[in-house]
Amino acid sequence: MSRNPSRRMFVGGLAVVIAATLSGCINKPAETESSDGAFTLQGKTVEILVGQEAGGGHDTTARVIARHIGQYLPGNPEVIVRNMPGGGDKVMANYAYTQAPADGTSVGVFSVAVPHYNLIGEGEAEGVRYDASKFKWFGSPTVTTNVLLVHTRTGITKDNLAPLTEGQGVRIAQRSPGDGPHLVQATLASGLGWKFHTVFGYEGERRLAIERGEVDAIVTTWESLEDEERDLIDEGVLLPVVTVGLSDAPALSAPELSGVPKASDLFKNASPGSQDLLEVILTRYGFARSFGGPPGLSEEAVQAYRTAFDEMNADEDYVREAEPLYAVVPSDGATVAERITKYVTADPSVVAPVLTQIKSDSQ
Amino acid sequence: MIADGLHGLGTFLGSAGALFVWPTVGYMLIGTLLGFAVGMLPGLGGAATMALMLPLTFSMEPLAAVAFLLAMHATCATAGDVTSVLFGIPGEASSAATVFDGYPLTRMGQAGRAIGAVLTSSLVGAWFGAFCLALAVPLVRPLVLSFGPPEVFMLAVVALTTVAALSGKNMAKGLAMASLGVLLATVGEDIATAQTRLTFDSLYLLDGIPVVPVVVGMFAVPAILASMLPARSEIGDQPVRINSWLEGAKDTWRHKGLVLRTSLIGAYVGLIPGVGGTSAQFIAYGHALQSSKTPEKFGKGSIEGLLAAGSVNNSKEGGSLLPTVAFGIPGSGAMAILVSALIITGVQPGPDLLTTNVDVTFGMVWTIVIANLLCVGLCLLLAKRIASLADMRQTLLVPLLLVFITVGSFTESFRFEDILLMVLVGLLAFWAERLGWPVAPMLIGLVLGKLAEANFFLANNIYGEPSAWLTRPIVLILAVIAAISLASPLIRYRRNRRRARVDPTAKARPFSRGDIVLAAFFAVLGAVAFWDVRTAELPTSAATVPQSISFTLAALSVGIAISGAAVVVRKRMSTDVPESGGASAAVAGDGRDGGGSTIVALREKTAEAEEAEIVEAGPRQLALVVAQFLAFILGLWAFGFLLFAPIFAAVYLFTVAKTKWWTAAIWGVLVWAFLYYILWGLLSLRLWDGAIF
Repeated sequence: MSRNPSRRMFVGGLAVVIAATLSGCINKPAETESSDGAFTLQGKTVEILVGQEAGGGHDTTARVIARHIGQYLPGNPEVIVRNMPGGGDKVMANYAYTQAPADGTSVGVFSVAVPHYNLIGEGEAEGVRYDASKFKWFGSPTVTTNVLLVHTRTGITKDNLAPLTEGQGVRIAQRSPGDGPHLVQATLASGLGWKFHTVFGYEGERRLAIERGEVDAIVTTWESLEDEERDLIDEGVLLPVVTVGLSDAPALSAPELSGVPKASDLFKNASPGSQDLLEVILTRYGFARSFGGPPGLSEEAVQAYRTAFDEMNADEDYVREAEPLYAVVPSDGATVAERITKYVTADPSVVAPVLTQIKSDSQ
Repeated sequence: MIADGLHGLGTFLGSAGALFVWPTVGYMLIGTLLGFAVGMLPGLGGAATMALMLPLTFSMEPLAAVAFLLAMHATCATAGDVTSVLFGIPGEASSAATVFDGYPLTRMGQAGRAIGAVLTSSLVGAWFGAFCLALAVPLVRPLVLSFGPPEVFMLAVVALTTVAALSGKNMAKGLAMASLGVLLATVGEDIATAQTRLTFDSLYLLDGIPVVPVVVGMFAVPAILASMLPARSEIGDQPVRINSWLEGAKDTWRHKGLVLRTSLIGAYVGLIPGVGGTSAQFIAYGHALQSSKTPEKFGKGSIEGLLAAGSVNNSKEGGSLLPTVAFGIPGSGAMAILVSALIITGVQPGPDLLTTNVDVTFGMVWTIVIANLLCVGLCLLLAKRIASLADMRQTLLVPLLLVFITVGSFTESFRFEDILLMVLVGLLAFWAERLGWPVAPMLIGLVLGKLAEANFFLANNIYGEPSAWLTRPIVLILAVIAAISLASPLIRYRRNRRRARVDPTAKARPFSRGDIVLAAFFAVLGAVAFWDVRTAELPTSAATVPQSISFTLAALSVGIAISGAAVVVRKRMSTDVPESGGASAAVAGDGRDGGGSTIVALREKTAEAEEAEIVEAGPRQLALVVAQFLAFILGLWAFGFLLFAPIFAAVYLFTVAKTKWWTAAIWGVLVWAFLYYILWGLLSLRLWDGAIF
């Protein structure tokens, strides 16, 4: 080896660089207490977990939140989004429950499926390793409302719902048995005796299916309804038959939905059991894309996040950016926690009929 | 009416002017550069990067946001073709077909021509796709509405028939690989029945086998493993002629009919929601194969195959924008992000984009046109530089390629299991290719199996039973195309076998001991899958395909194993070992085993070259190389990217590639800098941290 001093200096310098690199790379436990013991995220990076791949609705929601919430959290941390797709949100929820650090640097945007798995009793065997009611909830950024849309070629009108109650019923397009829209359909079927002939397997083009004449009805989300569908409703080609959601949802004031009955109205004459069922189902609409963190979060951290979330929702810049993507109708953390607990601890016998309906639809 | 037409033309030209305003044009340029960089990196690209860029568009004007994202996306495909051709590693899943013929051309010393051909055909394809977007706007609704589940099913069948053509002489092996692909496509949750199949209780497999790690594994791993082997002799190794890219451009002109036809296929198939670009490339490739006068060259360096693959990759961009624009139905994940960007900037996708906001749509057209022109220009300018990378000593590139493929596989959905999947598929592909089993059919089966199965049962759900929808006009037309597509290679195969009795060079690869082992492995796989599905007691629609395909796989594999055994036994018993022709002589272990058999570690030889590239590598060296590869993966898992990758790069370069120690150290630091500053700093891509720390 050369005795060249400049080369030795180079070696030394390189060694220092490498050592610095390595020490920087080794993870140290995150310190989230400032000198006076108060909860702070100064100098930290917060990751918002999302159980879906980049580009989907939840991912976009998380990214909008990530852009704005940092300034309202103590210490003004940097906030990024971490995608953790897999198992229909189970991978992300499991991670958030069992492995994510509970120091406030790891939080998530959870889909409605997460509490739902608890409701239908899935456990270790199905890959569910969490209890949704034990997550610490900071709030929900939005509210959704489902609508049953039918094509007028079925002969259904506001006053004539006969095709829904007679014979084979109405042909409806669905994606997968037990998913959100199908749950709505099954609730209407089991509670009101409506009949549907379900065609499963549609990935993204349920609306095209109606246009092609393959089916006559779909359950869709009003807030993500497109101009084209709205036009078809205005022209009288598509008819909203019933809305399913929170009774004070802003969507209900849309002109196309005036005079359209809510599910709660129609269920007034249903059996008590069905009314209880509807009440449970309606809770779902109050925790869409809920924002929360691991069970081990300190009270202080939870409070900090809840306050930050509320403040963010009052921020005009946030509202302006988010509004085109989703209806900004926030619910605070305490309310969301209450709703989720109510959902998850619902009496199984109340929910049983809709699960039976789901099963029979998929036969 | 003339006034209307002039007005339309005015809007069309006017939107070009709107594009060249600062900062819109600036965003378009940045998007182009980003797309170029990202497209080069295998695996990284498409939806994930676009999603990362999405927040940046919040503050942009609609046209600027669209120009930025679309420029990035459109150039990704073009740049990805360059890595496919030069390194045999597809930049994206939809560039897989460019590897089939592009890489062999590079190996033959015609990298420049290949790059020229793929880039010019990409440009033509992109422009054609954009042109379709501009013109077909009034036609798009009836076009999209006429393609329901029955038609999509039959389209998938048409694409599946290319398997027969690509298997060539090794028909049984090709079909077995295709069956494997279709079987893998059934893994996961079946949407229509909410039943899980073949997941063996793994949450990872619940979502099915992802395509990107499979594509990266299939192509990149065998190429990299081959690069890691010490090459003793490389016959036919000519210096890469880069100034001959014009030759490739001339090829595009020579085959302009083909390029236009495949562009049309890409645009039209891209138009149909749900089919996707990855399927489109095989349909176009199949057509090129059908209409070619030299079909036997396909897969071995056919310029026609490369032109087809290059153009379809880009024309589908314009096509897939149509349903996005007209219906607001995104044709892919990347389109979904574009839709979000449009919504954010206040433009509602749907009929408005064809009427009041048609200038945005035209802006998209111009973006595709200009961004691709810039990208192709950039690629050609840098062609010399980039192609000289291919000329570099292979082992020098290894650490870099390893980092790229693992990053690419990981950032698909941020699960380490994807890297493991890539490794498994890669090792399998490496093994299979050596033995002459074509791997392309497996990819085709994987991609199209799902599409075919889902739409078949959906069609039945809608119409009741097959006879109700098999007679629809478009379905019938497609069925005829499928039949022709299937029949011609089969007829050719028969003819070859007859000829083989007289002319030994026309024969397929002779069977060997390795074949029997691989076939036995597949037979076991098929049997296990069959048993698993059987015992799961699934409803008919969920069980039919996995059961029948696993049975097919097992049956084909057993057949191959038995024929292989018969051949080997017969050879052993006869005193005269017949020579099986020049092309196959260099191929692995044909019965002359006894330790240290000759193993071909590199790709297929051309039909013209009698002498193959023979790399003599004993099983010991092969095992060493695989061990090095696995060590990298293990280290990555244990210590994470930031810590392990730079160290591995430095160590590998110093010990194996035998560079000077300071070169190795500098490369190590560069790798770290790339991972830390660009991926983590700029793109906020959270890489695997390592299981130990």
